[in-house]
Amino acid sequence: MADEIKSRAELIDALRLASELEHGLMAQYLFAAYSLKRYDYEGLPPEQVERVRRWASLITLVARQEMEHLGLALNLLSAIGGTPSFSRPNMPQRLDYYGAVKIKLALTRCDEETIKRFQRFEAPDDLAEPEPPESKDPPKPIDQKKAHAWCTNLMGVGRAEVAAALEAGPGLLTAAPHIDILYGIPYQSVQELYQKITSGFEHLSNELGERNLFIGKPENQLFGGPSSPQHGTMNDLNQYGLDIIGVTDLASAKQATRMIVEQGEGVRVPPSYLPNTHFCIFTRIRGEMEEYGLGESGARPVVPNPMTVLQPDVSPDDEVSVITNAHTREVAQLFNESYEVMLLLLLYLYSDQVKTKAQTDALMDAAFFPFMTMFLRPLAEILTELPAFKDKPGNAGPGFELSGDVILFPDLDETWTLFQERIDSLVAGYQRVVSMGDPWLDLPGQRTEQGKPSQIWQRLDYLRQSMERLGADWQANWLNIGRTTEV
Amino acid sequence: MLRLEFEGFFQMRMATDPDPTDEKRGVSGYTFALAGEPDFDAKIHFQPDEPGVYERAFGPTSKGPKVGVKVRRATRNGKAAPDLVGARVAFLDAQIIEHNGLLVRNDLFIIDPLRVRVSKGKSVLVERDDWLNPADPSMPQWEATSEMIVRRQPKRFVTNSAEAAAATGLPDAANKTLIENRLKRRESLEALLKKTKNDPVTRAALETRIEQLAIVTKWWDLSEGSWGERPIDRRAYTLALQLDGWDIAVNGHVHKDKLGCDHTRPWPLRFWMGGWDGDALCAYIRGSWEIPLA
Repeated sequence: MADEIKSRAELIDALRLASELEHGLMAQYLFAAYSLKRYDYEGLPPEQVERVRRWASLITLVARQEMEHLGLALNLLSAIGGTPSFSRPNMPQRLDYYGAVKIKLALTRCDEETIKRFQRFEAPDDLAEPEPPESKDPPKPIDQKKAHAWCTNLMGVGRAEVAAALEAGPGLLTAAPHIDILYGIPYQSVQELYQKITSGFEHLSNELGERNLFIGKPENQLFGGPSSPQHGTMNDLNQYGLDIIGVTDLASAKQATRMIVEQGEGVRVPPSYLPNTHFCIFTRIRGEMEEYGLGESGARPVVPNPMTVLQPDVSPDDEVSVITNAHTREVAQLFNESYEVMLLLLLYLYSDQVKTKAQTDALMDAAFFPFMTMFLRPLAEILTELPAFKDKPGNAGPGFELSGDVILFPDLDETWTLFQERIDSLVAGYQRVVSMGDPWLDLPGQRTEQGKPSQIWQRLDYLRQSMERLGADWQANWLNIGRTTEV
Repeated sequence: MLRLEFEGFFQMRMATDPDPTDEKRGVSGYTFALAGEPDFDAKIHFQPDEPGVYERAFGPTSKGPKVGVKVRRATRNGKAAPDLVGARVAFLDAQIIEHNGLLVRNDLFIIDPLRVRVSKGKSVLVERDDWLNPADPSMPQWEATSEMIVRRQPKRFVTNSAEAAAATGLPDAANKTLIENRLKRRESLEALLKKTKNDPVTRAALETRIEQLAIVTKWWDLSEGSWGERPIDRRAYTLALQLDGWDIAVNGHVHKDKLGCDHTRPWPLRFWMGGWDGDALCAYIRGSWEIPLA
């Protein structure tokens, strides 16, 4: 990528990179959130469990907002004729995978080191000391005192200033407070990446004209709110702390990038919002970990980067924990398969193939609530309670493994067959895990009432029932998947 | 015809979207089983002594809901039936569900199972099931057809309902009024927290409640380009003034009958639920049950 974005192809590249980064951050945050202890039987007193649960609430909120950022990046991409993508590398990856920005991709339990890493990801530029380009060391943690001051001394000012800074372009941005200097490399931070994207949109609007730049079909984008076809339904994306807008011109493109930067790094937000920014949320959690001695004990003993197999694209290999417990591996494979099907559904939603509102609704009905909340989330939580290995301690976790690029643009008939097969396969998978017996009864907290299966087995059986219902609806009429009443 | 009019606050300790339906403590929604409290059971409780009810304290200056749904007016063939006034109403083991969109796709939650009981003292006066599928009462919920589900869904849906506001003690149905009410609750909980010195578990639970109630003050909408449009979490006020109305002709097996009812005909049950209080995990129900006499 050039220092300045001067062409549509470069802008598409930058947005593909932004999408990949948001997707990767989301997976890391979710992994950490699901590793946190939840129950009294996990060795913490109730008041500490309460604190840890509050962190899980906050981190899942941040992860949802990363999904929002991913959605915004995909809309930006779609708006200029780019191809939406959910591809990303498997984790872990080496520190310099994304160059000097040093975003380490790794799935790690929610301990103090992990929170420091997250805090660094989301740091406003004037708190994240720039690394010398030649340095091979991990980036230095944020100074917690400075971070605390940033989050509590109400440094935020006004929206107009944010807009003015973003509109001014890199030349003026470098002179503004909180904005880092370009080092002759593509980007030094996520914040800077979005600033360059914003400038790219401005430059190309001037060069080509807005009409020629924004050539994507608006109906291929997903967004919420009053102008959305899904407004007022369960599929309205502007719920649960999220706001995803459609991108049709320069003004909406700049609004989208501004939302991402404000919500993440908290650059120039109003004082009342500052504690809700990602950076300040991680600063708060780090502070509470230190204050209450929960830096190690708040999370389950989840091993880093638990994988069902050694994926060929991970690096370095020795950071991977290959799951060797056979029962756990079955559950982990089911998670990965469910995750991949969800991404395929989402990709199809963004594709040019989906034309009618009914088709869009049907895919949203399947992808958002059922797959994200009813399958992926419970399986991820279950995995962090299961043993990773057959011969040594350590719990597993959701590996978010992808077996290849997530690419799907066949026609409608082929897609029907593909989804049918994938969902049938998932139904069989959920049936298989509950038919393995109940090997989890002796895990902590699993024996409740005499003669009852373990809590884990009961939860898996509930997932089996749910997937069977989803499969039956799909089989009955794929356009009405999951739908039982007319909307 | 016997007509029983009932109302009162009920409790439902359940996880809220986007938590999965079977979540026991609450994480990403806005309802939580707090420190010192039992797991969610996701059941509708009309009476304070039912297992699973956990009524929270509201502090020195806030009046919170008290669970208890009773018959307030009763008539038998049009004449007052004072012997039935004060009878307790229960929906045994009922849940308000949609299974994260798997069973219901349009936010109009169904109540299932539905078994209505009216009792006085220790005596059950009348108790009847409603079946999703009268042809196969044992049919699992997961196999319900669209038609069966629609029958159990609300037929009426009102936002900013004046009736729900009045029933729950609010002077009007304006968002501003509700937010003032919740902020007063928050002040009361802060006072309670100050008094709670040596109980870390209660303190931790109160801290969470105070933080959650503060959400209504965090007004900011990134997408609209202006501040002060709506709170960060809109559910903090929207559900609280919402009212959903059901109308179900109860059709199943009669388990108890000391009132001489006609078992061959359905018994129309009409009610609304609304005024959800996410801090108390309570809402209000008002309705009637019309039972033909034999």
